[in-house]
Amino acid sequence: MTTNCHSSAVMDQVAPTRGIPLVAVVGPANSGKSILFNHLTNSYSVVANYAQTTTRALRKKSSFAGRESLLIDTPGIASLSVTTDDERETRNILLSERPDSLVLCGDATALKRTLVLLAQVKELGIPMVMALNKVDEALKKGVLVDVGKLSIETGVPVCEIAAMRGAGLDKLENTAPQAPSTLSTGVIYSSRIEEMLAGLSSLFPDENRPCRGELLLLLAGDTEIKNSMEVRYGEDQARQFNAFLRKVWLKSSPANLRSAIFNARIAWAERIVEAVTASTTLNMAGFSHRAAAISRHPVFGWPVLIAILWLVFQGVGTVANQIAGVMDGWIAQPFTNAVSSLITMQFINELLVGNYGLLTMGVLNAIITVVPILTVFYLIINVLEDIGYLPNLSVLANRVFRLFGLTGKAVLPYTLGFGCNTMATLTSRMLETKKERIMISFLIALGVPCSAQLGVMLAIMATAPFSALLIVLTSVIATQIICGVALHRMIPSTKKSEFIIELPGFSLPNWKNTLRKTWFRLKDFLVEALPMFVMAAGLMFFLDKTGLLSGIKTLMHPVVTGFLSLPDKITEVFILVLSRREVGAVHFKDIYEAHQVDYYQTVVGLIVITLFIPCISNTMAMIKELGVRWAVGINTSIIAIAFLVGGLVNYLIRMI
Amino acid sequence: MGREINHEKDELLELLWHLDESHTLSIEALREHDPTNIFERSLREFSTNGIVNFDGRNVALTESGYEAAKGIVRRHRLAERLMVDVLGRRVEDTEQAACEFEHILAPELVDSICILLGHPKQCPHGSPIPEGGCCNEARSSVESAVVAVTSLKPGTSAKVAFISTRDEDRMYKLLSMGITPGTSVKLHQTAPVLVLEVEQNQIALENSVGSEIRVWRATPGSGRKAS
Repeated sequence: MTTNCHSSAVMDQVAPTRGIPLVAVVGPANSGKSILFNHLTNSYSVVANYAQTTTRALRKKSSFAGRESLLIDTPGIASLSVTTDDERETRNILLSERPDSLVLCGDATALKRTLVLLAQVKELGIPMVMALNKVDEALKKGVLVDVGKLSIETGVPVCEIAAMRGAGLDKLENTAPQAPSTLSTGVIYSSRIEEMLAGLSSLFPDENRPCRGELLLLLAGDTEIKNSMEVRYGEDQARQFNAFLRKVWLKSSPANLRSAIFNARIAWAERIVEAVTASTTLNMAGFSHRAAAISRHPVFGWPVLIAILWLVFQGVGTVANQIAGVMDGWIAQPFTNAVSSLITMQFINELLVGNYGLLTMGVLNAIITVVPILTVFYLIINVLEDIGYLPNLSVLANRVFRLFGLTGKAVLPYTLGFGCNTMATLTSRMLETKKERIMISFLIALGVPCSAQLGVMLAIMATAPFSALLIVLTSVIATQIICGVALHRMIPSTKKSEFIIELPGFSLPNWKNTLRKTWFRLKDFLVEALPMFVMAAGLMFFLDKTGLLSGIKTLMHPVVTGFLSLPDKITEVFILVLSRREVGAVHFKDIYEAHQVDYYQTVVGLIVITLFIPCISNTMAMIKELGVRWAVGINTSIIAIAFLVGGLVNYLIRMI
Repeated sequence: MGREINHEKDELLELLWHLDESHTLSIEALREHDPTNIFERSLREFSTNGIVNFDGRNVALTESGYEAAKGIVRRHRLAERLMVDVLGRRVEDTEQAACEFEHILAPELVDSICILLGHPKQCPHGSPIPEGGCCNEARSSVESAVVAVTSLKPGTSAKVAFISTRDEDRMYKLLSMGITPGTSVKLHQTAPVLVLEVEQNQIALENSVGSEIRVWRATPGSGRKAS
């Protein structure tokens, strides 16, 4: 770190140390950073109409402002004082990596917050340009922003963009990020704080002085910056500035300074907002807010939720399965027959289209059974995301999640879990405490089937008696509640986190964006899952041919048949679930359709598969987010719970 | 009418009040607090000014003395409340500043603070805060000017007065979401959680958080920002 940010650092001076310039897209939550990033890099990362869609930084090389650069998309922040891991990542990029320039993605509908953040980021002394997004939406809400004046007042070049439509981006690339000049200093604090800053700054060597932003954090008692400064400047310097800080803090506490600094930034932002905005009487936001209000109404919200769940059930259980049936008849069967008749060699024939054939069990299951289900499921979820339904649902769900020591915010990773457990576990970092992250990972792994698995199971239940659905649903929900509450009691809470969340107004989904997003999610699924399907089929083929499979079956016999009253063949399902949940579910569907299980066995089988151990990639995600100890603990207890509940239900339903 | 600032006399008056409050007001008790007996000279002065009845042996506050002492104690205890509730100081850190406050606050300012705090009944240590004129008025106009946002009716708007929380992170989270003093907020719904509209944005939060957001009641001219 050799950048001196008080000198007007120009990109070219710094660039050679890193090869190519680093450009970070930063901004407040839900301001549209990811859409902007997608446009700038011609790539795709998932976007949705709510805060914290991006939970980890994404890097991509692309040409920016005519130069080959490394662009970074960052999780949204409100200030450099952060509370969650995803926000911390952004802070670390800004403070430790020090990008060569910044694109601050501003939200015109929340201009004051944008400016409070701008004030602080500007103090880091990194050349910056502001892309002011949602100017059109602000206008709909009756607020007119004078962009030219905003640029003069803030001292940062401002470009108006409409990221959704991709408008205004050319101009953004042509507007070079401007180094902070002495003409526009940003926020000027009270003389008391300015004196402290000057005093603190003088303790550092001229040629390598920390920037104003870092000094302010130091002054306000930020321990992380203090530690990194101690490393950066060595013991002697550390002793000096620590002594200085101790003296300052005797007079006014760090908390006091922090609030004075913060208030000065707010006052600065308020003054500018006042100067650059004009209100119009036009207000067209009424409808979108009214619609959102109904979806979270304590009474009317529930019918809305039930209607949506019904839509998912019908869409996935009925529509998607009919599509799958048609595709099976038209494509899969003729294809299998053709391959079968073409290849006469017994071994190859079995390897490709036999019981555990790479093509039948691997490729065709993935494409014919899973793809239609996922398409329908993702279409529905993506529309809900773009409308902005999920945060509004969290208002209703808050009380339920409180049972587990979580807040309504957990509804976001939880619902994502129905798409893919692994992805959901990775987004758990948006929650504040480690305990919350453990709780949500556990709940998702225990009782949330991923979309493909869910779809296959719904398809089974759609043809089984209705009571099967009721028993499975009740058992899974009851298990989740009991185990969730128990775990909540077992883990001591360090800090009670409060439910505070921003609610976006409803916006009409843009069909092009929704289809695009569905396509990218399907593509991701195929890239990741198809090899797993084929490998799982290969594994079963190998186990079967070597005789290991019957060995494992014999080993598992007491549990599978003795305790759960399931046929030995279900052991295959359990092995497959380990590699990927939906592979196991599809195999179970095959067994069900071949009438190898009766009603009781179907119910018990479905419950155990739903609760059973998370797949390998989810386990890896847990290790990454929670550490090995928790991952092992959660997995072991989930296996035990799955078999115990399966056994219990098996005993109960046979009694009735 | 102007109150002359005399710390020593104020301290003595406060002491008299404390002893009177605990029904132990006597010369012996005073001597215990101040063995130098300097207070006797002040007492005689008070006596001539009609603040106390003092005959060399027995001492009692007069009506006007009682009122004067009450004013000082009220200032002191309100200052403590102000520092704890609004500025977020710990109770044990307030003593020094509260002592300064009680000597310098003008009566109008004291009532403004009292209104701001919602006419509190007790200081942070649990002792009663003597009532002022504003408290009587408030009682007749039923409620105080600053209330928790949770007590608003859904559909009404109010301006934020301050955020009263001990949790710094939460404070900055609310501030950065735009819930800052002076901003107008509108309450949309109260169940299952609160939904507030701030600058065209809607924010959901739990009741426990909402009760920490204090707003000015939307009655015009109810002493909003006394300046």
